[in-house]
Amino acid sequence: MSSEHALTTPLRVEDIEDVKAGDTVRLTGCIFTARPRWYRRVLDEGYGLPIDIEALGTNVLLHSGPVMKRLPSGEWKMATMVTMPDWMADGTTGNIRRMLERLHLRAIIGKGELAGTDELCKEHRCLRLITIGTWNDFACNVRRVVDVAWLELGASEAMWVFEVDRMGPFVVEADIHGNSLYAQRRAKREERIKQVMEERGLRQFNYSTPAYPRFLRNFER
Amino acid sequence: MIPRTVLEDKIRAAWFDAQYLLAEDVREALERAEKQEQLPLARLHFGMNLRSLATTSKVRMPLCGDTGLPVYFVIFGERAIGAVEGGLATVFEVCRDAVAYATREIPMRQDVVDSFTREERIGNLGVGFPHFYQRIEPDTDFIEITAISVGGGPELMGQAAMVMLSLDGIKGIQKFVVENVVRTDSGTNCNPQVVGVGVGGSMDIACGLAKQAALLRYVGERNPRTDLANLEEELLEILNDLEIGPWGLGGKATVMDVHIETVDSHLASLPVAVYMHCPAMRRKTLRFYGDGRVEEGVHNSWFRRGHDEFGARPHYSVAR
Repeated sequence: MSSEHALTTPLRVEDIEDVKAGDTVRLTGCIFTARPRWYRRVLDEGYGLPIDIEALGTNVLLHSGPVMKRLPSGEWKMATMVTMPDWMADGTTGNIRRMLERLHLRAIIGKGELAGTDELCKEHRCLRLITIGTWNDFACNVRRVVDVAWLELGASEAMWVFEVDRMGPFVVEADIHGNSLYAQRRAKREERIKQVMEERGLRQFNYSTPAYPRFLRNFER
Repeated sequence: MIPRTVLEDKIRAAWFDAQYLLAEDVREALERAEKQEQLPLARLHFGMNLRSLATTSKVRMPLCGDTGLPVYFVIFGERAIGAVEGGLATVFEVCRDAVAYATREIPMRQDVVDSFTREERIGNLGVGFPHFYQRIEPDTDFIEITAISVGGGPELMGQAAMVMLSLDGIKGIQKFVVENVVRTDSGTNCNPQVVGVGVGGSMDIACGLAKQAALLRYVGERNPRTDLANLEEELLEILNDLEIGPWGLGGKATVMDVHIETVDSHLASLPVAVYMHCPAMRRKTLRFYGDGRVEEGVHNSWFRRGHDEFGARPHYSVAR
């Protein structure tokens, strides 16, 4: 039976010990955003973090490029926000693993499947949360912009720190005990897809396409 | 006479409506999906979608954080072109200005960037954007403008291929469509999708048809050709049988609808393209008549006008 947890940042390991894959979570406190260019700067271009996240008490990362509006007073106001699929941040170079090795975060928020989260989250004792029903619901829970850096990358790619109030519900995709929703479901869903294709006579069937060098085909999914 | 100020006001307002509200047909489809769903996570998903929708109409904030690439589908009616104050240039100017205005005021995300340097284009006015899909319609007394924001997700998963119909029959098309929808099981883009399938023509025509079929035809609308309508129904059934659901976490609603559009093709090949649009369908249609009347929120006529008895669609047919 899934349950809802109310968590406050900075998250401690003991806070997230009881959180199981499939539960939902609401977050209060500070979170910061990152998009691919943030990863490139932090991991590949040798930049230090422009904002002291520890001092702000945030150890939760949100993969998102928010839409921000600058008021005449110079203040920033959240217009709307949607999460980004985590594989976009991960790339082909395991960015998320490399980032976790450096920053010791306790939760990352994104969406979609990310291969290997069961291992990764267990190893780094970090929750992986995903948004479902990803529309502006989450944006409404942002109380205040705490800080922003790297605006030269554009308002969406910049690093934002938000103060949030009961933001969620996020679904726990991977907990710190090595359980992952996608990993649990994979066998079942593949079974179902194969079954339906079999019934419709589509499974063994392959349409003919013009020649394509076989060695270039990527069979792995 | 179509005054410039009227064009300006209406087109600006269209972006606000498109971003804050959702296309009616998709909203209804979501409500139906929520009622049908049994699995708790999928129910939570649709519940949150509907709650977001209720919030947006109250506090006026863009529905989805990906406010998308701005595109216009414009039908220039022969008899209305001359009625625009300042001529055709006005239409294009006003449409571009409206995007910049909406980007600043709604606000919309700076989604248009240089393809290579990734430099932001201020106001989402860049090279080729906002994009205009346009055609001239003979013997028509209005200019119809449909403003649509196309999110990044829908563009991620589209595919095109050359299927050999002479060898594979309709099954080849089915397999190709199913294969591509199965790719959404990783939750990369937001299910349930409106699936557009473009068949025939050439590579570019098939891709264009697939995209237009997904964007411009309403959920629940069937192709006027009976064989294609049946194929649409059959594909819809197969795809929702897969139980991929929102985020690939299971559920009844994987696709909201399947729209097939076709033109004829070369003897040797059959281009097929699939385009999947997420539920954040932000479209708004305006019709400006030569005599000054304006119709808002009407059903676009992109696929509706001038079907001849063979089902040919006018925007790609040359000789009639």
